[in-house]
Amino acid sequence: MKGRTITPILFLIPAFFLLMLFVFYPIVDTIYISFLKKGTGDFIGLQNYRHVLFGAVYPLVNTRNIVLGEFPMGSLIHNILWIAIHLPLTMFFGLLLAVLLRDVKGGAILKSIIFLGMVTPLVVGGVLLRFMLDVDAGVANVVLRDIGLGSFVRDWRAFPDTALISVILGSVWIWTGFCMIVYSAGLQGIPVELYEAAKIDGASRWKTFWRITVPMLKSTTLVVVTMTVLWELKVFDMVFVATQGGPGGASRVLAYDMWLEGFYTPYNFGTAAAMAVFLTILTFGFAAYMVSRMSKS
Amino acid sequence: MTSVRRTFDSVLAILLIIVIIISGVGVYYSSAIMGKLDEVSTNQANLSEAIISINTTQATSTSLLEALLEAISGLNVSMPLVVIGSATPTSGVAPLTVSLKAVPIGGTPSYTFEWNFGDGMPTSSERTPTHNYTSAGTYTATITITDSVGASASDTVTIKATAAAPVTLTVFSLWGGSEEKNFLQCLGNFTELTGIPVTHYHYTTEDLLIGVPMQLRAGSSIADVIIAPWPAWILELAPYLISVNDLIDSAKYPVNTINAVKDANDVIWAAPFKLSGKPGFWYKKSFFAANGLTVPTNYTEFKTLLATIQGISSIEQAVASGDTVGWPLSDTTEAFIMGLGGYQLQEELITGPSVRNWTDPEVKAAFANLTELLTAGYFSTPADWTDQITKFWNEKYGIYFMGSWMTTMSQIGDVNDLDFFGFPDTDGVGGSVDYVIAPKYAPHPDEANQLLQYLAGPDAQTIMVGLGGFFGTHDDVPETAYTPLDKKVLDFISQSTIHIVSDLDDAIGGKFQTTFWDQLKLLWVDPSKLDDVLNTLQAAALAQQT
Repeated sequence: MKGRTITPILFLIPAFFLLMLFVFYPIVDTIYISFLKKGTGDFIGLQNYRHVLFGAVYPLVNTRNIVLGEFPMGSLIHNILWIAIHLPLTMFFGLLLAVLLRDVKGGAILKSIIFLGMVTPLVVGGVLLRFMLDVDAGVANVVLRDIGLGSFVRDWRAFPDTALISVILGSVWIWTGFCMIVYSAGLQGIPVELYEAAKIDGASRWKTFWRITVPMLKSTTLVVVTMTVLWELKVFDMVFVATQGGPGGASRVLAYDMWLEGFYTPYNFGTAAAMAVFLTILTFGFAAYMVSRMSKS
Repeated sequence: MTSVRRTFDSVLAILLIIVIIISGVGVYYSSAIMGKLDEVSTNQANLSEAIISINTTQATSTSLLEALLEAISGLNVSMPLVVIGSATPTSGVAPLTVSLKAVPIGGTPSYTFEWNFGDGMPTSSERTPTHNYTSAGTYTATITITDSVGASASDTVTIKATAAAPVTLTVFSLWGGSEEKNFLQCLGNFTELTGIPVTHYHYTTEDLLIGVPMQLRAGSSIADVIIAPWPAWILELAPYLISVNDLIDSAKYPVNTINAVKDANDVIWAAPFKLSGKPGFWYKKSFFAANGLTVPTNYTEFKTLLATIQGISSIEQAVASGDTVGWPLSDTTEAFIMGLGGYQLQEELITGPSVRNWTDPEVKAAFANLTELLTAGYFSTPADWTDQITKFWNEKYGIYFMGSWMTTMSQIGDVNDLDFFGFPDTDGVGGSVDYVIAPKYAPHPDEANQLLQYLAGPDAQTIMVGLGGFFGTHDDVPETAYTPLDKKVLDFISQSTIHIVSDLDDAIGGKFQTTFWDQLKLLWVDPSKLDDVLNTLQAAALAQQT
């Protein structure tokens, strides 16, 4: 009996050691650094957190601009906006495409084409976005000119009020493929008998969709929401390539700020660590909540 | 079980046979050697003496055979004179040091030795000389011995010295396109002179700014030599660089270029290579002639010029605005700072908030003039700076503020149709020096120093200025090396009334630089944000100093 208990532990020790070394120790050390003053290493409590939230050159929350409704509003707010815009759009388009392409001839090929966005590196996505939004040759502006909206033609990345939204919308086409694939899998799991029963009862297509499909996709939706929000909180490369967080910080996000703080002089690892802890609390907190919801459902 | 037993027995049997065969071979060769020794003993050889000799010489000989030969040579036997020559090693990379040994056998002692090393060097009369083969090649060393009765014998040893594996230097810089092409010509000349090939890698600003320090802090370097235009960045990396005080003559360079990369202990951490100036606004001579435009002599005429250009129907905007991560906008801004506030204003801003704040009235006044023109719509929306050159040359824009490298850009159709004018009434011009640094961890430090000295010297710089767009930093670069237009730019920035000032964001560096670029991008599209921009720059400048 004792051997049965010890043997699994022995097998777990190497993995546990690696986890300790490469995961737990860096986490603990990062949290510790976030409470230290730059240069002297003195313990300064929550000062770094207060500084990054409200006191930095580009604070995470720019209360003045939030009140005025102007960009930049702060990286944290930008990430929240990203979630608010990107999540519903990708879920909507993902579900729509999954439903439309279900049991359609050639649907698998179309789904694969749409999924290409997911396999495209985000750095490449950022470069493509720059081309797509180019004033002269970008597809976005060409379409606007063709449909008679030439007055809206501009370099969307260059203006503070459109820089963030342009990157968010650009990321929608990249992430929609993921939602579509997950929803497609979810749709496969809905019993056909439910639809047959609805048909017999004379339910319309809309009612069938709303009363059967959507509720049955609840657990799938939880997965989509969890994965999408976690990605939105961590987004970096697309912003880095497309706008460098500008103009004037109008498209900065948490991960970009964290990178700048830690890798540009004067290197401030304390504030970078504070941002990292903040980001971790957000992502971990959200993930824990969603996992508990999934467990219950 | 029975089959396993049988297999085991078979394996054992095979092993036994192998052992017997090996033993047999060993016995055979042992007996052969013993037989030889028996022959010696029948000729009055002392076998025990020989064994003792073998035991003694085995301590110094590298092989049993040598030990036997040594022992035999010491025996008093009547044999014809023979010499066995050997060398250790017999091959290697030149310069190769070889230990040679002559073992005489037979004849009548004593012996005289003469080694001819086969490389034309003087012979040696030692029995066991050491010789250094300095050049690669295959050599035949000959040993000739003569005994006391005049009999002689000789033997040869072949020694192969190979050439050292060629070193290839690695250079990182920011240059791509035509700039890289020109630089490769310069590197090619270095290879011709020294035989050392050089591989160049073009890096983006971000990769160089961040990637190189990370490598150096990790105690390694891929590059042997790095070229960068950021003095502040270079000084931060000083602990990981080779100082160049002994490699260059600092008196041959403009004082400012040396001081920018010299620390408080007068240690110089980089060698100046080429200088690029930002002389002013470029224009097409034919465009100006066709539209009756003239070069402005003061700021009022400059504003009038912009308004006139803006009124030309084919023009999109009077002034092209180039962008990458923000630096062409910063060059234009610095022209306004120096042109309207004086070169000292820029120098004070570089020094920092202890001397000059971004919110000071003088700074705001310079910016206010810029925002006035931005608000009037004279400047285009920032776009890729090389695309903007194309549009400028296609007369979509009237003028374009750009550095001296404009003359090398492939988008310029006819450099003879290109000209410039300085910011009216300015007393300062932004200058950016490309510095050469050699990391401590360079894979080939000696050759890296050679390349550094070459690039900092007049030969390399004469090549670069001859290709256009840049100026040499070394005093000995002849004026005749410059293209006519570059000479005009050089004459302009060399005037006694013009001070060459470091690029502001390069000099400060770090997060301030990215903030400066970022804020200028905002200012260009929303000039009403001037106060916010200046406040942000002030906060960034203060943060940079902590």
